[in-house]
Amino acid sequence: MSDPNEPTQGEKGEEEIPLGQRIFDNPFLLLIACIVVMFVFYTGWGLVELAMLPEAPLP
Amino acid sequence: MSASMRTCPTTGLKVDSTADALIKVNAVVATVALLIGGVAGLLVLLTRWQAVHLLDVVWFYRLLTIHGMNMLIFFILFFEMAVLYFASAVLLNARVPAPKVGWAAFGLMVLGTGIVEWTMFAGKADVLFTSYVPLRAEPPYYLGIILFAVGALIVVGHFFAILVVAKREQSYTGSVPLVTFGAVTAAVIAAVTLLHGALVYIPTWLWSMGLMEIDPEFYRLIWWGLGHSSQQINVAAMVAIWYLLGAFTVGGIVLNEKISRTAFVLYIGFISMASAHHLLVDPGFGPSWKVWNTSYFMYMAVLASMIHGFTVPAGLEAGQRLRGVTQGLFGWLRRAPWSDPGFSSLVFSLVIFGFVGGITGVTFGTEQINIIAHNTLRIPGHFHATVVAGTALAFMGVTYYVIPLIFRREVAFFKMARVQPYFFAGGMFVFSIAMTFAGTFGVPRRHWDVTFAQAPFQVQFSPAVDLVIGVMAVGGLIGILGGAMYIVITVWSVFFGRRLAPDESGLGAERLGLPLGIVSPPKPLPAGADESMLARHPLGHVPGTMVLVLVFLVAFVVYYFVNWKLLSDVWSVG
Repeated sequence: MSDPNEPTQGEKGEEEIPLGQRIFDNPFLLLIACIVVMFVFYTGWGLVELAMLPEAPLP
Repeated sequence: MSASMRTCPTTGLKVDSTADALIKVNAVVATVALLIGGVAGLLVLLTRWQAVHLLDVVWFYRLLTIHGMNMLIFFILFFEMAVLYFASAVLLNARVPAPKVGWAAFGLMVLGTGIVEWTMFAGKADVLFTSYVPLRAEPPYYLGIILFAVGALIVVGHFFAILVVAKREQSYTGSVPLVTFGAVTAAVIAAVTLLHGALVYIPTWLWSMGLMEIDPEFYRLIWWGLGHSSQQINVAAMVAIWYLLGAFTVGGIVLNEKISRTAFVLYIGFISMASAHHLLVDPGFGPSWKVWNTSYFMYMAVLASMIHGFTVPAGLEAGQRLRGVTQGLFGWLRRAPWSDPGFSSLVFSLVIFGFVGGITGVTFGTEQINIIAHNTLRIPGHFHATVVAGTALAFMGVTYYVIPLIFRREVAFFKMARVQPYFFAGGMFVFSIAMTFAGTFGVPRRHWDVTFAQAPFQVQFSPAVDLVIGVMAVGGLIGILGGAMYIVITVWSVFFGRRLAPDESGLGAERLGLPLGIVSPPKPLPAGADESMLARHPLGHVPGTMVLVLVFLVAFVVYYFVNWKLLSDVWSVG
């Protein structure tokens, strides 16, 4: 349990920081993950869907 | 300590003078945008209330555009810029590495805002918030938005720079605090959002000058990567503020850092693609894309919200039980500081966001059900519960702490401040519910005249619609009154409120003007306090929260399946 305004994990000693915490502590890794997921599944896939749409025949 | 830093006598935090100033100016501009958007909202409401039907058609759409841009973009994002500076420079005791960049970014945002306001009021951009192509505004409108977005993107970059400087200069050790981690989440989502803004508004600006063509479906896809994701920045910032207000007001704790941080990471990974539920009835996208983005992935973000929806109240309950408030299931709620506007805002924001905004959002984001909700008043009913009663109310609650801690002023009209969240939350709760009900009857959103009086065809809604829209209007007026109270209190406090002396902590102050969390902060927990000190109850260590969560889940299931029943009535089989 901790106070949400205080730095918390990893400050108490020299013990090795777990991998998950190291990932979470790297904002640039999180930024890249967010960009990749969004641009692959929403934006990129959506653009491919639009590019593959057949042209509507004129009435 | 740098000469440009002061030490807050209340919290002991070191506050960089540039961060201090940038928090203030962003908060002030946010409040101006709230005022403009609020007045526009009042006039739009008095038009949608068919018994009054105040505005003509041109001014209805003009003011609806102004309302949307000011509330969903300018108010929210300026406030979030203040949150980013607070959560980085202030909470980490760090300096702002590039003050001139910070001021240049703020200047760009203000310039962009000014241009957009001018084009909207001058009738050069009657295109609504979404500005769907081929609706065409005049080029300065798009240019203004681009300038604003560039400024905001620079602030996001500046936020990351502050994190780097803070770590390098060891102004903190270990991991950043959870509140800062929430702000990191908001900043990451903001970066993705603003990239989509650049992708869509630059070509649209060129299109508005006749320099290129733009495909409407391309516009909708990319625009919603901006339009909806921008509201997800709100969600992350709002949750961070929930944790902050919980700690300030009742000494709320974080039950499990890993769980709460994982929930924020789920937002980072998956929340932005909820943008796709605006495109669920668009013919250009296949069901795989729609279902993947709105169900498979969006539910990861829903899971994150439900985690926060449990951990925040559980942290409030555990924090109080550890301090001796152990009576019954809900003694921690009965004895909570309901006269502290920070606490009441937190609880109302959490409850309305979850019970109204969350449940309706997930239900409408289901592909099949979306067909009966899309483009009806159910959609604005949903997002007024999330963005207004959720995010805006959380921002209002934290303002009552920002005024003394950052502006170093007392909160003016404090008796009014105590009841302001009740007016705002109560009004917006009634407004959102009634609006959603009106949408259930098929009443369209964004429509000037739902009687279709001059249309060549007849559309007859249930007679109940008039009553429901009347209730919606009353709720909206009460909510607007609450918003007006907030503006009066904050403007008066910031410009005319009593100044606090540089060394005045507010601790033990007997006069009105400071929230309870400052006058009488929660007692420190005993050394080594943890969940093992909480009495074991059949429902766990936080039984009150467990009961509330079960009520939420039942409401969720009932509303979800009621909507499938409504859908089955539309599509009779056999």
